[in-house]
Amino acid sequence: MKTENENSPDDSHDSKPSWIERNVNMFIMGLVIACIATLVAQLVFRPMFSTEHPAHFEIEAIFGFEAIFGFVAFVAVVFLGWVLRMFVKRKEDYYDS
Amino acid sequence: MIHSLPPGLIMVIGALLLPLLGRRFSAWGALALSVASLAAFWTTPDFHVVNLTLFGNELNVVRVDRLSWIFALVFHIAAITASVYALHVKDTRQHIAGMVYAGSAIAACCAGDMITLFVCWELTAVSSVFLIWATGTEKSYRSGMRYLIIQVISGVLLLSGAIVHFHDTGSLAFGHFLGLVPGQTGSVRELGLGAQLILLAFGIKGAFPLLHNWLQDSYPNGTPTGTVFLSAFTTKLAIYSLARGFAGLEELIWIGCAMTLFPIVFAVIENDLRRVLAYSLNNQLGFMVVGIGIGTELSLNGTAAHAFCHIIYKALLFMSMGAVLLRVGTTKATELGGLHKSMPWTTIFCIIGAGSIAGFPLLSGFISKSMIISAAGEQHRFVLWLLLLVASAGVMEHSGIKIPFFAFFAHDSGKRVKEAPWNMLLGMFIAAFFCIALGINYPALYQLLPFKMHHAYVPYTPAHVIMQLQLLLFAALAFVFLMKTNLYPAETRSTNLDTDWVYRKLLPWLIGIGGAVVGWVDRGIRLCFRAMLGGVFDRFQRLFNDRGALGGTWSTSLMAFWAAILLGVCLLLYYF
Repeated sequence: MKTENENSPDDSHDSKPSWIERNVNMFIMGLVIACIATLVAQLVFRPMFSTEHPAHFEIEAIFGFEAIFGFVAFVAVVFLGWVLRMFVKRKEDYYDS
Repeated sequence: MIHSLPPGLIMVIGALLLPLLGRRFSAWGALALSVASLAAFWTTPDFHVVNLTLFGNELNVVRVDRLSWIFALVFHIAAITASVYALHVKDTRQHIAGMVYAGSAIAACCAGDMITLFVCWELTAVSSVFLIWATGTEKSYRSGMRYLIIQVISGVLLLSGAIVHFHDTGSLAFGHFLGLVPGQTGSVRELGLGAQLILLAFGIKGAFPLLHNWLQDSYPNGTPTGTVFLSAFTTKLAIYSLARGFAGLEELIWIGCAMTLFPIVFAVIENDLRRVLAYSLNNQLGFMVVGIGIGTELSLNGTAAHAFCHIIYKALLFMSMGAVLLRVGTTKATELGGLHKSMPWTTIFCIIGAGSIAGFPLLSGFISKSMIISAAGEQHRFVLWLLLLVASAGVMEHSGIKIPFFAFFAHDSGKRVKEAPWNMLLGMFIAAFFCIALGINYPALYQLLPFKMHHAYVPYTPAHVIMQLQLLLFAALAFVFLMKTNLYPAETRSTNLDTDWVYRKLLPWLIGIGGAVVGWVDRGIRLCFRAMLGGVFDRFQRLFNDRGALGGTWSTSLMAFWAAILLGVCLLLYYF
């Protein structure tokens, strides 16, 4: 594939960490706060849930169900990835050789 | 006059004239064709039908109802956006292929009979393969050939099914094969052979499990702009066709459910980010197939809405990766990282696409996917509902986080490139605009949906917003946890086997083994025959040589003796 980065600026003048890279911890803290905020919001808005969003299953009524589910499902998918990789991983040129 | 022609035909016919504009202006010509086609389509009257009599059969070449209208509309939007994105491309072949492909897909979803559908179906296959071959590498050539063979097989199955169906029923009309209306359910077993063959044809094009791998094989090998076209049409044409012909089929629910789940695990370990997007596309198709299988007004509207939003945000994601491919030369996660410094606008657009596909509130995925999940809830299908939630968390993993994180953030690859060309940024801007506009002004989309719902669906309730945010934010927290503890699988340069292994390795190997066995058997038979023949010749030689019984010189007395015996036998035979 022909690339068009031949005229790109040199690598050196922009090598220092960007504002985002310098504030990774702040972003993580922001995420944790947002997570806590959703749990608090669930407590605050709970009385409105049953009227505006009829729950289809009892499990939905458990406090923080979707939070736990999201976390566990994500971890489970990634671990399944580890397992799958053991079976299907081959060299990059597998089909070319 | 213009409305008696199939929608999209302007693009197909006009594409053939693009070479007249030369390399410099053919891209603008393609854009003009897409806009002109949309303008003509926009003024098409509701429930518009055009019939044509051919060989004594009436063909319904144009049938524009609410279901075909929404698909044809979003196909036009995708064609225009992709044309803007491809304005810098000087390769006229790609523009011709893109226009014929988009035009035939639009005509296909406005086809009322199966012969017109078949013609357009094959035209999409034949035209789109040039978007893969245009990459110009041996790998893309081979991948394009595999793609073409599989797509043509799908077309042949469609035609075979249409012929069998016509033989059984005497009808070529393309409608529901069981005559079901929304809310009714059926089963594959109730279908005739013709309809089953057609379902298989749709299943190949719709990337059903085990029939899916042409998608992940071919799309990452397309050109940066070609893959944007590819992502929009083929599979969504299959979704439209399934919604038209097979809504309410119980089996589709579980086929769709499998489609939402298995690609997310493959996406976790895949290194090529365009291939990750191809798996992600497969996963999104799964949601739509589930909606078709449930077959209620809410779920079918959900499928149409999700296809509409999905075409746009998936095009946006492929556009952002196409820009990376153009500038960096690769989309392998191991080679990327830190690109937010040099491609900030592409980064922002990619994040908007990622947020849309993950289903964050105020973005388009939130207002469409939730309709399908709610439809599963309304039917009290607990296991299905739970699995769709797992798939939603999986979407957050591979498209919501992995794509933007490994391309634009993660470890700094040190690559400093130019920002994408202006037209690519404009294409991404248009798609990003739609992602946000549809997320906020969702009623504009809902009023286009095919079925009138008894109860208006409201996506923005406190419960829905909070629950969805919990799911997504805690999934993101899980990513941070896995990265910090080094439990997230590191990106490595590798090939991951999928079902294409069957026809890329196993079949050639089996054919090789079969050929060798046939060779051995053939050689064995030849050797045996030659040995037998040699034995017979030897025997004859021994009999007829100088010392052989028949070849040697006999004495006169012996000859006289045998002559007497022979005459005696003749005499006896004469008497008896």
